[in-house]
Amino acid sequence: MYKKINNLDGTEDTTIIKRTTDNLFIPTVEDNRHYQEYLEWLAEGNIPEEAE
Amino acid sequence: MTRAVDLAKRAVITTEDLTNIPSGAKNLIINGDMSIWQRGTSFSATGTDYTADRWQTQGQVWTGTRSTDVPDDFQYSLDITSGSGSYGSFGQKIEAVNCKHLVGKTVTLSFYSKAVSGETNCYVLLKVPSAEDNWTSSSNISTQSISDIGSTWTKHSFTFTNLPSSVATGLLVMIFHGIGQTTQRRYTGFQLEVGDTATPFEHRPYDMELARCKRYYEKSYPIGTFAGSTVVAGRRQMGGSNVSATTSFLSGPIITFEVEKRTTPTIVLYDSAGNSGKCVRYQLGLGDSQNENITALDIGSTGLYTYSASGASRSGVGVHFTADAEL
Repeated sequence: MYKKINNLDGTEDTTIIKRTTDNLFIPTVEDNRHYQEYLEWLAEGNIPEEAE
Repeated sequence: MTRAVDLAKRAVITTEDLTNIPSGAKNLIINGDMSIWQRGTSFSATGTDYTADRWQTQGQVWTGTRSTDVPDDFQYSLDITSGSGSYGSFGQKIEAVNCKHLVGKTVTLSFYSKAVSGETNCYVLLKVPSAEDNWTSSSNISTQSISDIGSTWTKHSFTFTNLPSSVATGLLVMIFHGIGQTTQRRYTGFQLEVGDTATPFEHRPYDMELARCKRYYEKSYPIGTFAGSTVVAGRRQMGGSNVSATTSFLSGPIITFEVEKRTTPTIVLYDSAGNSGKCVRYQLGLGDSQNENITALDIGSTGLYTYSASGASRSGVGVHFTADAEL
């Protein structure tokens, strides 16, 4: 459902997470409502896919 | 100007006269007249979703549509229908920076409504978030109700006194009709203002209202064309000349928003054939190759950067976007 993405240099981009079900690029900022949903999803014990 | 001339001719200017001079700022509600519909004009879902700009449903099974059944002086209303056994509710969240001055104040909410079918009761709730602009949980600070909302267009008003300090973290104005029959309602002309009196609705110019909405949601598509449409107009582009075609990395457009967002927004990118999460790789003389991969980087409140890592041999990238910074 969520997937990490990489920077141009191949390192993990920790500022964005991708929701794969509807192709949202979600910034990891606390007052973004989609990031708040992601944090709840993580708290349920889920783990995002690694970047390709 | 006519109103100013009228006032100048009179010996005494009343407080009401001054209150009713259009300022564009007295109404804390954005898109209260339902004039802006950037996401579409017909919605059907369960749970929460945005309909007219800034208006989010909070109900169970519902449909929301743009209606031209309106009271005098309005163009559109929001038609909300909740299913049998479902509660119907919708509201608008006001961001914290616009609520700091409301602590301890009296505010008045007014709106026009019309019951088409079903339940006749209506509740108006004020809620605050658990933390500043964080609505993962919330609590009621006040509730008022009326037993019969009326089957013809009627203006209602509700006054709330001495708002608590928690209102500084944000405010949700929520309309709720009870669980029971399938219920259809129409609403427009929402206004929330400081004071104990519902003054006449202030009609802001369309461009002003649209700009205020774009602080929370913006799209690259023209007005009246919605995300995922098959359209080129408004597409952001980078490159595309007839040299240096490649099947590998292409830098995409740097997208700059027309209005800075409330916070760093969520981005969806589209090609111009309606595919989300995709872009167009294009080139003069070769045309568009749709459904190509695209990634967003460096998202900020003013814009973002994009790139297409690989795909059809072209020299340019084109992409549509939506940016969502809603509460």
